[in-house]
Amino acid sequence: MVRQMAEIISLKKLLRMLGGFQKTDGRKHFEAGDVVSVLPYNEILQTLDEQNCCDGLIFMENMKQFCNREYPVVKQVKWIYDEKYKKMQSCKDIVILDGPVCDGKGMLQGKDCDRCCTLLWKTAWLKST
Amino acid sequence: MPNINRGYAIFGLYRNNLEKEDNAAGHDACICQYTLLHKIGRDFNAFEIVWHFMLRIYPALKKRVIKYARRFQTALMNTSRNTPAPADTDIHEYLHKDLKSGDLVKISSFPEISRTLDGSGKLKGLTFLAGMKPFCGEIATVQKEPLLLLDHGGRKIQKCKNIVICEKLYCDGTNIHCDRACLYYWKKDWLKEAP
Repeated sequence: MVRQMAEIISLKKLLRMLGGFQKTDGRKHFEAGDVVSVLPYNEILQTLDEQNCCDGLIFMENMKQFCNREYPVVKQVKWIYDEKYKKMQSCKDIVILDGPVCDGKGMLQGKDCDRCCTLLWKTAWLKST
Repeated sequence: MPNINRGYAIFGLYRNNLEKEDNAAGHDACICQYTLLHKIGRDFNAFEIVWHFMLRIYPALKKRVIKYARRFQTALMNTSRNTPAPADTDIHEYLHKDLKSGDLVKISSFPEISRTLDGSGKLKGLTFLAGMKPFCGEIATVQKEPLLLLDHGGRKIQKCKNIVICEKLYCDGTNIHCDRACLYYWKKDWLKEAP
C-alpha cells in the first residue's frame, strides 16, 4: 500500500509531468535509438553564424563527410564535463550519433590528433527518417 | 591573476580570467568541439549543483559502507583478509604489434585484467573504469591506435603508446554523470587475438 502511494507521488513522475508542460518552441527532439539523417551541408550552413557555430557549438570541416547520411542516436546530451575549465555544465538540443568520430586531421598544428572524440550534433542539423 | 576559489558561484569570474590567460598564452590554436565545450551550455544552477553532488556522492558512500561492513565482518570472523594478487602483466600478445583500424581484437576477461592493475586500478597510468567491465570478454573492432592527443581541454599535447581505441565502446559516464559518450581507451595488455 505504502509502495503504491509512493509510486503515485513519485518525484520522477512529477518532473516528467512538468517536462511535458515545457514549451518546445518548435525544437526537434531525438532520443537514444532513433535513426536520424544529417541534413545536407547547404541547409546546415543556414543555421551557422560567422564563426561556424550554432548556439556555441562549432560545425567542423571534418563533419561535412557525414552529411546526407543516416545514423542511430547514442545519447541525448544534457550534462557535459568541460575538461578545460574542469566543471560540469548543462546543455540542450545536442545529440551524439553512433558512428561519426572526429578524425582530427591537421588539428595539432599540422599533426593529426588521435583522440577520436565523438562528435556533437545540434538537433537543428538533423531530421528524423 | 588573483587567487580565487574554484566555487560554482563565482565561476563566471574565474572562467573569464582563465579565458584571458588562454588567449595570452595562445592556447586557442587548436580549435575543435573538445576545446570549445565551455561555449555550448550554461553553468549549473543551485538545484543542479545539489542534485549532481548527491548523484556523485551516493555510489561513493555505498561503496564505503560495503567496504567497512566487510572489514567489520572479517574482524568478527577473525580470518585473514584476501591479499590482492601481485601485478602480472603477462598478457601482451599485441604489445609489439601495430594495429590498424578495422582489425578485430578480443578484450580479456575481467579477472585477467584485474591482475594487471595496481592498487589504484591503473596500468601504466591508464585507469580501468567500472564502465569498461561489461565489455570484457567481447570482440571489438579497432578504431585507431593513438600516438598524439589533445589533453586538458586543448592546453596540452600528449604522446602515448600501447593504447587502442575500439569502435562503439562508449563511456556511459556513470562516474560523474556526464553525457559526452567518449570512446574508451584500452591498453594493448588487455587485448588478445580474436578467434
